[in-house]
Amino acid sequence: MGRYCAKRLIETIPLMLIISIVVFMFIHLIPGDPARTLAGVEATPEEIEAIREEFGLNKPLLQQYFDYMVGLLHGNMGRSLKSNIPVSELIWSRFQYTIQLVFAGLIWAPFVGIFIGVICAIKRGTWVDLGGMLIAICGLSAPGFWLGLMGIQYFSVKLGMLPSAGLGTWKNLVLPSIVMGTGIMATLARYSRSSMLETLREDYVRTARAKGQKESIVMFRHAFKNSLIQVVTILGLQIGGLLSGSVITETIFSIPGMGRLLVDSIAYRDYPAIQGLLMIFALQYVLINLIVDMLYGVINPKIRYD
Amino acid sequence: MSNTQNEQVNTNTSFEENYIDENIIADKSSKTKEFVKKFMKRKTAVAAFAVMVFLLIIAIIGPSLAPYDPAAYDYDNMLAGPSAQHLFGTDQFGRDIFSRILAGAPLTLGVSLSSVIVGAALGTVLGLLAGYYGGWIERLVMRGADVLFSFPDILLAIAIVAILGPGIVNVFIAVAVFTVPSFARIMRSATLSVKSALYVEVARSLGCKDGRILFKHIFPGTIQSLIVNFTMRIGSAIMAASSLSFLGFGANVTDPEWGAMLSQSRSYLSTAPHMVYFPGLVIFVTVLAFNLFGDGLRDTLDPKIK
Amino acid sequence: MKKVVSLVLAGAMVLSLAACSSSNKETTAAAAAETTKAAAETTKDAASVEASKEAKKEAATAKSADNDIVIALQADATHLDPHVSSNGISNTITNEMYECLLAFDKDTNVVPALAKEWSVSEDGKAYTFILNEGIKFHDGEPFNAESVKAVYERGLADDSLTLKRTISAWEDVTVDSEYQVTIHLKEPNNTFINKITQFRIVSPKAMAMENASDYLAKHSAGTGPFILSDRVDGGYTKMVRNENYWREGPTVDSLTFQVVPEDAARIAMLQTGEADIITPVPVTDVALIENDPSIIVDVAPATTYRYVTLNTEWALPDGRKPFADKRVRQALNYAFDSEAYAKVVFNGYAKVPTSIFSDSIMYYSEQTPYTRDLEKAKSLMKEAGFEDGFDVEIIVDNTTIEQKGATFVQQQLADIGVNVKLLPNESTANAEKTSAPLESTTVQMWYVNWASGSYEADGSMRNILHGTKFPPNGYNTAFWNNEEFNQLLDDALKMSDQKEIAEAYAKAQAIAWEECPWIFLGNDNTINAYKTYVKGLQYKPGGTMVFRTIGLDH
Repeated sequence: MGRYCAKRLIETIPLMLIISIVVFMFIHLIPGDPARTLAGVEATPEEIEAIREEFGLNKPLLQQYFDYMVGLLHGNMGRSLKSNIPVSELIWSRFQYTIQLVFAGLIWAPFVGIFIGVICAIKRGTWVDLGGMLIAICGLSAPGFWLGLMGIQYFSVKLGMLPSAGLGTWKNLVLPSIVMGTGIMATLARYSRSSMLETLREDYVRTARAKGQKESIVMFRHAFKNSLIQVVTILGLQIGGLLSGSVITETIFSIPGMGRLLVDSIAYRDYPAIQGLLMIFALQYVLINLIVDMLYGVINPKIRYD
Repeated sequence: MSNTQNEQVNTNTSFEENYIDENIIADKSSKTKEFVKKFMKRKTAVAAFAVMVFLLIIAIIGPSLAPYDPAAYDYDNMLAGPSAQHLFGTDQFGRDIFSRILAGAPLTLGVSLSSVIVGAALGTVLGLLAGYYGGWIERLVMRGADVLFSFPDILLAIAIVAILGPGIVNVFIAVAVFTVPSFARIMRSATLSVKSALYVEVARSLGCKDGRILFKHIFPGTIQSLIVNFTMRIGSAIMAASSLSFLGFGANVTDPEWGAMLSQSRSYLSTAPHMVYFPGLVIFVTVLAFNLFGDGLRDTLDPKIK
Repeated sequence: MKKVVSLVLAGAMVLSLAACSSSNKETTAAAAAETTKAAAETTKDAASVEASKEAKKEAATAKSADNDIVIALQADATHLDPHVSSNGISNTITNEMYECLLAFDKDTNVVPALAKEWSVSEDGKAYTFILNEGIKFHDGEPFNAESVKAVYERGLADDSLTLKRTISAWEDVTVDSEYQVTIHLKEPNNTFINKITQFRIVSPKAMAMENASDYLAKHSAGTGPFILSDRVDGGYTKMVRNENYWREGPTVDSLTFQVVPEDAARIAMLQTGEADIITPVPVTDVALIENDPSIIVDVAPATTYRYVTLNTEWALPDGRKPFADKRVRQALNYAFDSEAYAKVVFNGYAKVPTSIFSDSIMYYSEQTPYTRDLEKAKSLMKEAGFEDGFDVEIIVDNTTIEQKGATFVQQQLADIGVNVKLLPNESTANAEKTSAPLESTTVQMWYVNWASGSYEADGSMRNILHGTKFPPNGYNTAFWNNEEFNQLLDDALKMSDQKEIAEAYAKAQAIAWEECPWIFLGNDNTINAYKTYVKGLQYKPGGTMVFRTIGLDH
């Protein structure tokens, strides 16, 4: 397991290298001139040139990429063009908000989702099943920003129960966690239902039943535990998606997280910030995938890594 | 887009036994009949299919049914609520929302359908090739998919639209691009499972050409995974396009694209809620119909769920 | 029914006159008197709001829960170093921490700030300031003539600072005594006093640091009423009261600028009391909060002026240049209904343009509006040989309100056969497109706006209309070059006699109005809203809020 882990980690290096090149090319393809935007409308061409000089924007692209990578190896992600502070510092200050949102979504959605899925599978074909799946499919079909706006309108403005923007207290997190979690809840409900149904047909479950074991034990120990594998895979993919879901959530609730930083940075053509953020998004995705693979072994020790 | 179906985990291994060479053709008509019979039993899916067909008809003939010119403004009648003259009310320019929704149907459905078709076609070809040939093609395709997958899809779409500039054609390209990797992956694994099937081995030993094997023998075996993923993807394509509009990267505002209508109307959430309500509802119903239909299709096609 | 409407309208007219004259602005009152029905509706909203405001304040019993004030803004400052940042929001925030020698009051009068007196030499080339004594910077350094000179020197040393722009016309700064400083100009310049209100004084100690900008991003080193306490970029900027402030200051304990980009969220925050002040209030939501007894809505004419540039050098595929012909440009203006524009796009919270810049700018001179006249527009088009119209593209930012405005332009011009296609894009991408020189420009029309931060006539015209300001040197994307206009601007800059300056600028405005290199769209209103328990709010011209004496009932 340790060796497998190390091997996978080493494999991520070339992947990240390719990603860094792709991202670098990508962001320099975006039309727009950060120096001009930073300088403002009344700037003279000389001022604009001075800003280009200061941030090295007038160097050849290849040189810029090389400089960036050398800096990265020294743990330096460059300075944000827009706010003129180190990108690492900038991202860190935003990360704390996004991670709160991610946890707010994860604290309920997977559990509720799996619960609904499992109950639906057990009560297959009944009204419970239909109702559960209807909730799931509606959750999947409603645009997240729509849910958020409706939530603000109803819970904040009409009822005055919850704050409408920013973070701070647990109350601030209620509405964002609904927007963040609904999609995951819905997706997991659907997958855990079908995965549970599949395992329920497996021989070992039938055997357990035939042996006269209690239904609750059959369901939990045999069926549920084994159906978890697929569910974990999906959950992993969904967590990766959470970060992008946070772009919308952060926009609606005016939370200064990483998603909004990315949108703002694109608007300002803040190259170092965009580069840093995209690299971190990519890295977290790669790492989550790794963790998911590791978890397989924990859930089902029969899986061997080689 | 946290609620996107990133990957359909469809591990059908049993269907290959149905496909032993010549039987395919002989069985075809009876299989279709059987499929239709099974499908008709799923009432929600049938209803969803009816809605889908209705929407497609609207997309084709809808614009000519519109009671008003969707671009005709009426400054004396702005933000009017639903009434007999204006079924869904009017918007900020006094344009008839009902007419705009009808006129927007071909745009909205067209963009999502065509982007998924193009993305799926590309992804399918890449996935088939990767799965069939293995080797460097497989590595290349899969690493490419990894790179694309490392960015949550909405971020990828934002980046693409940022480069190309906003507009409906570029939204189409963006959605198509992030559709490719998911199809490539699914088709690769489907191909792998079919590749070793007996009838493929037979065809190969008879000296069939690669192209023929791929498209005559392997492709039909993978078509279930393809169709299911396809219908599910349409829903997320519509959502992605409207999310892009929400963030300011979407369709041209003068186009009556539903997502753009919804995004423009959000400043009127409190003062003219009908402007937000109707486009939102239409998007929701459309996505719901495609998702329910996809569900029904999957359940019917998956022989494990009887 | 009709009677009731006309009664309401008549009442509104009276109210609007009262409201406008109370702001001591003859021009505003005169303009209001001449307005037609739609414009009366425009001011009606403003007037009724104005009338209910005082009543609301008196009736209000609501108290703030704490002594901390929260202001919800649409966007964040780009940087807290006042010599780096340049946009309006950055200034709103840094103005609470940094002060200038002089300032503007809300009626565009120059008032003393760090300098208590000033005088200008005979030749108009030297300005002497007598400074207030005993003022200390946030870092404990004393404020004196040396600190003024130090700011000048910082600007000289670093080209990338926006400060450079303020001092580019300066020859030298001399320290006459500890509290007297003289600024020498290369040549007389009537905009000097306006520019000095943007010359923010920072502690010399902070500026001397190796990474001054880094330090200033996290600490304030001004003389202002608030001291920076903490900040999350893109989130909020929190300041605490400066206990050693040198004149009457705020009574609140802290001031927080919170960034809330979503319109709906900003409104909701004010309604729930999470925010005490919001700016700007989206025009579509004024109706929602104006009847709330705990909320006061303030409407003020903004300096923001909206227009569409018409590239006079742009050629159709067949080689004809439609906008090179004055008749076509005028036809577009006659086809455009600016009253309806104010009503449709800004829900009435905008004014019909009566010159080429806002009436809150110095040396504004009123022109006769181009009232919508489709027949005249069509005949002008015919005279010019364009009776069949043409297809044209318009560049516009991709925000909701900008696109709404451009869509309106599209609808209006369609009536004379001009088919406008919108090209919405992010402002950064547009900035690159519109700064391309004549040879490579793709601009046909550009839906844009301009606001002079220092309220001067020169700053409201030169960069966007002067013949030497073709991109990339400026934003004259009409590529309009009128010798007489250029000369008037250049001459006026060096004049010192107020009457002569006013005459020159009036003439320049008349020329540009007649030649119309733009479609004149309108003048925004700035709309702010706050809770009734907010006290001591002050304004600068254009409705920009100043929080120097802010307080809360609590």
